[in-house]
Amino acid sequence: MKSMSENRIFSKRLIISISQHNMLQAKNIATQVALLDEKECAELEELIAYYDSEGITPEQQAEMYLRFCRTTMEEQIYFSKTQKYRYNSFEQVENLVYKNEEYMRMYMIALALTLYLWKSNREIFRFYRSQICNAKGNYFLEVGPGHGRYISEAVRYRNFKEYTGVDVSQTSIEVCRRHLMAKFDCIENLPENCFLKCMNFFNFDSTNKFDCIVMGELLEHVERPELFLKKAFDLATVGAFVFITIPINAPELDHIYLFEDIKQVEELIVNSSFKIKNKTVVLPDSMTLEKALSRKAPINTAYVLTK
Amino acid sequence: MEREMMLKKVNDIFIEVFNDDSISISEETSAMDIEDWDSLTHITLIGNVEKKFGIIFTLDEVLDMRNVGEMLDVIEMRLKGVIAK
Repeated sequence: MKSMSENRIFSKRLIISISQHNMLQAKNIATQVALLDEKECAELEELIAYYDSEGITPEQQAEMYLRFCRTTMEEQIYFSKTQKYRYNSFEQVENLVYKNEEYMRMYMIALALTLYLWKSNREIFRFYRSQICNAKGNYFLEVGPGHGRYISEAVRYRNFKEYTGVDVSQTSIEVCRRHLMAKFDCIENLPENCFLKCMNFFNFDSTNKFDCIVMGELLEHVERPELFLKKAFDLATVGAFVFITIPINAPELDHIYLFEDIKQVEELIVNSSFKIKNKTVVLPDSMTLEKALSRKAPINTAYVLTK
Repeated sequence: MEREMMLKKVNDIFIEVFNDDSISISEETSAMDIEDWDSLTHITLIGNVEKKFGIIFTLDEVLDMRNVGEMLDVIEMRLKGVIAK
């Protein structure tokens, strides 16, 4: 296992457990772990050890990861046959996913692991890190902080006075809260400048305008992404740093808005009045953009926007 | 259909999906032997096999398949009319 030194015992247990159960994932894991740098290997070890300290062993994390991969594959098969996502309304997935505590817990933990074990999520997270370190101001907002890795990365730089996370799922809020507390050595409460609110973003109101708004893995989960971007635009300060991700042809159980090409994504952004400052596009291995689009293979995009 | 004939038809699918005329699979061939065989191409392979043989794989069969031989086992069962559990 290249890049994974002998003493990373939690990572080894996770990888062995995944590899024993699924040949394709065994191959994927071997490839992806070899692409992690030393810092990422250390972070993966820390992440698995943290979940272990929360009572979820590496073997249980492996089960969660494999269950998530299985769901993803099931949706990919459905998509390859129908060219549609299975669900298209928030109501359909709300009880199935967001209000399903057991599923959400599994989902958030597996998703955090994919930041290291899936090329697409790792590259998007790398891009985010390369950008967020330069963002500065008073107020930071993340819509849908989920597992908490994105907001904690921002908190780590201490470039903002206050950090707020708004999520529709109580389970996500709890997962995120515990992650932030552990990350910043808090015993009973969140760091004093961090706030988490369980609510629909449309009901979120603030007297502050935000200098940074992060909406990762969000716009494909909503029926009207243009309304989310409009709300973000209204909440952003002039010159704000706004980070969004949008996957194209990337089915998941709770992806309800199908983006089919980059033109559609960028039209959405332009119509929201935000300006594109930077972007990254992550393609499947061995595919050009044209090939990925023609095969309707998943493409992951991330944009830095400003007002 | 003879197993050898099945293997040949599946080989043609592999050549098409991986766009590589030099591919020559055996029953032991697995994802470890073909560089581009990942979860995405696995779905394409399965879809093409389903179309070519007029069969449907279950999700468990798609996920648990370890090599070409196991793929042929499912094709053989379906062609004999064995319904998935």
